[in-house]
Amino acid sequence: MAIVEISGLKKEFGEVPAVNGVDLSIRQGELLVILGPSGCGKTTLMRLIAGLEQPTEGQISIAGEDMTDRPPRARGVAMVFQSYALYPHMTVFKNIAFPLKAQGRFTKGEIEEKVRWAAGVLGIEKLLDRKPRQLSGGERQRVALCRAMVKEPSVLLLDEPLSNLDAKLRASARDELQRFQRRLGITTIFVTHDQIEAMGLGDRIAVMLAGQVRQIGTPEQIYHDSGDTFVATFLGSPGMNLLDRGDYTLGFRPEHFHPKRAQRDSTGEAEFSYRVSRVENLGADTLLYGTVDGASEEATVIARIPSTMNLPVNIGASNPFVVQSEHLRFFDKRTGKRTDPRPL
Amino acid sequence: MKVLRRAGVYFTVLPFCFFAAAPFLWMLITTFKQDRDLYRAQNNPFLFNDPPTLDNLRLLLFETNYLSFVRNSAVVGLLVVLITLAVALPAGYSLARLIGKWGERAGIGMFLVYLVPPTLLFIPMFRVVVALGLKDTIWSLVVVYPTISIPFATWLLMGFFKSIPPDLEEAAMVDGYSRLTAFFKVVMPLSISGIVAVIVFTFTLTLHEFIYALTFITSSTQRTLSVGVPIELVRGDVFYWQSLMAAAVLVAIPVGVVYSFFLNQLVAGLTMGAVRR
Amino acid sequence: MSPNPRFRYLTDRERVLGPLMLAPAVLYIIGLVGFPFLLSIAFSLSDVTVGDTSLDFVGLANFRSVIRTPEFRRGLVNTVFFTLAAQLIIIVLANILALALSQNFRGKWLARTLLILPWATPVALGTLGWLWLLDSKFSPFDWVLVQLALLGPDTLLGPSAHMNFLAREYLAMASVIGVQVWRLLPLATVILSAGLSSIDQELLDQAEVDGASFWRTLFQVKLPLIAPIMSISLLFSFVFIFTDLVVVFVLTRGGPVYYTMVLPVWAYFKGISGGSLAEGAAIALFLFPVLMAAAILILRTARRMEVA
Repeated sequence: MAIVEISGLKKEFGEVPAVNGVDLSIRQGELLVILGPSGCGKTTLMRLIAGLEQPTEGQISIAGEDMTDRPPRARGVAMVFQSYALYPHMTVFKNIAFPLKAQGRFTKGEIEEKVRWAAGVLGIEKLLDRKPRQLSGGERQRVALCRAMVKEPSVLLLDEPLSNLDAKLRASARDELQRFQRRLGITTIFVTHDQIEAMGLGDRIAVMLAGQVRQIGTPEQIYHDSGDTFVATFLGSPGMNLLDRGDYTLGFRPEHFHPKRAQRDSTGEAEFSYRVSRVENLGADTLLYGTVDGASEEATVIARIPSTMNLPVNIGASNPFVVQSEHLRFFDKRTGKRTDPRPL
Repeated sequence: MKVLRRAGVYFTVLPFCFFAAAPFLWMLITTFKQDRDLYRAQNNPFLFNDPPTLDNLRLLLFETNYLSFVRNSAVVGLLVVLITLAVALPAGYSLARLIGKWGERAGIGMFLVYLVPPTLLFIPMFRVVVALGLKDTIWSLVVVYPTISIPFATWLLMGFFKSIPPDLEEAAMVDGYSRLTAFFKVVMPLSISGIVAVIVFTFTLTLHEFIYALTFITSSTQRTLSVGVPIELVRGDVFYWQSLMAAAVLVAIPVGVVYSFFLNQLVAGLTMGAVRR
Repeated sequence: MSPNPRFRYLTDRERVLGPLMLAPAVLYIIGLVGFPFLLSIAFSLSDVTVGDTSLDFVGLANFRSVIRTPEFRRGLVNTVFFTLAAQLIIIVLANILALALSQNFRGKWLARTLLILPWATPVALGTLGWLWLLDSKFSPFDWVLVQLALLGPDTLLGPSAHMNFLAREYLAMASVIGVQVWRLLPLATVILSAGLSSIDQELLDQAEVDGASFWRTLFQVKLPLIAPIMSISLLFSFVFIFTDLVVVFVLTRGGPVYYTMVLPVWAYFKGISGGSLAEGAAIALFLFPVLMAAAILILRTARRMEVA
């Protein structure tokens, strides 16, 4: 059952379309990640859902009701900004209570109860009397989440809420966020440019570019069955290798690009002559940078070799490397879209 | 909803515009009124019951020292702005970057000095001016006005410089510039709105200032606008009203238009200097 | 690109550069503010007049004699009252205006130009305009009120056909306050606009999503956040009105009788017109303690309210 339905959504700022025809159906309780590079329109899309912007065309409905013309406070949504937007002159308690007071239908006692309950869920009871400037980044993020959930919204919107945290903190924050979302079962839309975050968190991921959704699916789907060259190269670290093959584009992921092993059966493999120019030892994996004979000189092809694999590679010389044919991907040269396999 | 808000804005702003500008409109009309039109209480003051005349303007421009007043105010204004910038820019920078903890306190001290009013100092200041031999010249004002503008300008610029990240000057110093050169090449170009704010405030100050100008200067040709007009155009009990109104309007409109061009800079300068710290 | 070697060492030594850059300002202030201030105190404790320039110490005699006059007493009360009343009106109106101006609308540029006119003209000249507007015989207000049948024989405000704003005690006081508001509103509005524009837009978006109505956002988010800058604006208008001589001097000369007298004007009348420099200085010095107290109070409150 879809809780958020977006159809034909467009938003133009003057001549420039920031959101250029988006259709989305978000299911109750799911965590949908909107992933894309900066400028792709993901933040605008989120602001449209929140009601902070009015669409030029299209419709938005939440929980079955058409919300396109309604202001933010009539939509039952909650939002957390990248900067957390905590009111600096109010205590944590007052910050969290603010949306409840705004609704105007709770008594003082009810508000207190709800705030304490929400604070308990996020483990910030001890911070209720502090001011935002006395909190660490992680604490502020929790306060922002607390304020968002205290009004029990139909949809929770998160705009890159983890980017302001230290790298190490991010992984544990991600974990906590996912558990928090599962526990409360709130439909959540999460915007980010970080594909690792997206892959780790999302039930489904919508990949956006230039105001349009290029592909939407589970992490497995968009990773292994990328719908076009953009999605294929955007996902994965590093992204998919692409080779120009005249009338089509051939792609394969670095982790599927291995040295040829003499004793293996070589049917169902595509072979390449790989000239390695640089090696990066990352500990758990090693990355090789080089070029493939027969393809354009500028196209760097990357191979990711786990440390468990033997590596008989000569730098500077050509080595035989293979990709299993099931891991080959074919894309139309002109549109970049995924096509059926071709003979090589 | 949006229409309501838009209407609300106009509904609010219009009365204020009327309050602020209607006197000037009326002053403009009065400027061109003939005496016999003006001095009849039954006549509609907003219309020309007798044909408009340029006589009053002529009187103002050619038969009084009005143009001298304008010249004096302009010269004093320009010089005082230059002196203020020359003194306050390095002082503000020094307090922002170079003096450390003292800087904060000295900055507040500066601001407090600004609060010592001319009305308190004008009597002894008159003595100082006489002693310096500047009595009855515009130079007395050129020397004394900066005492009012420098404290405020320094305080504002100090706040402004503090809000510029030090990284830029540090990068310049690593590149080989001295601190002073870094100040000129890196910090000053970034401080345009702060400088504009200082210029506007200082110029306003010199234009409006009354008591020092009244006390120090007695010869008509040396007077500034602020004092010259009320004193010269009120001869005994006779007020040359139309010319007086003309005098006010002739200053207000060009200055007002110029200020409105710089309003955005002014607000930005104030924001950086006084709000964000 | 290589730096000038001749100056390299002086301008690199920040210990020297700092005070050096600060020196002109400090010297200027000590010389032309500090010294006259001390001189002012000296005058007030002496018997100096315009004629007799010798400074003979007389202790607090001047202070005692000036306090006795009714002009002084009224002057003190008025100085405080005009300042507080005008300030209150200004802060409310400036807030309303700054909020309205924070929206974008057609004709905004024209509105801003009109609104800034009172500040663009010298106080003396603007006040002269009001002097004529409030004239006892030819005021346009009188004419309008007569047309509306509110003035003249057998009317509400009659029987005279003239309001005589500046010759009636309370109307004259109101007029002085009105002119102060008129001339300072633009500046206060500009300062508050600066404060409003510095509020992080994301905070306002958050308040919108949190469901805050226009009034709640205004009173619980916007106003608390501009409180520090508001106190700066308050301080400015306090200083400008408290120490102002021009408006009263031009509008009423302290009249009718001495009912609109303020201390700065009285100091001028006694000191310069009257020739008794010592008494003039004494009167003026009364302004100082109140001014300092107000300044420190407002600055401290501003500091405490700073939230970032």
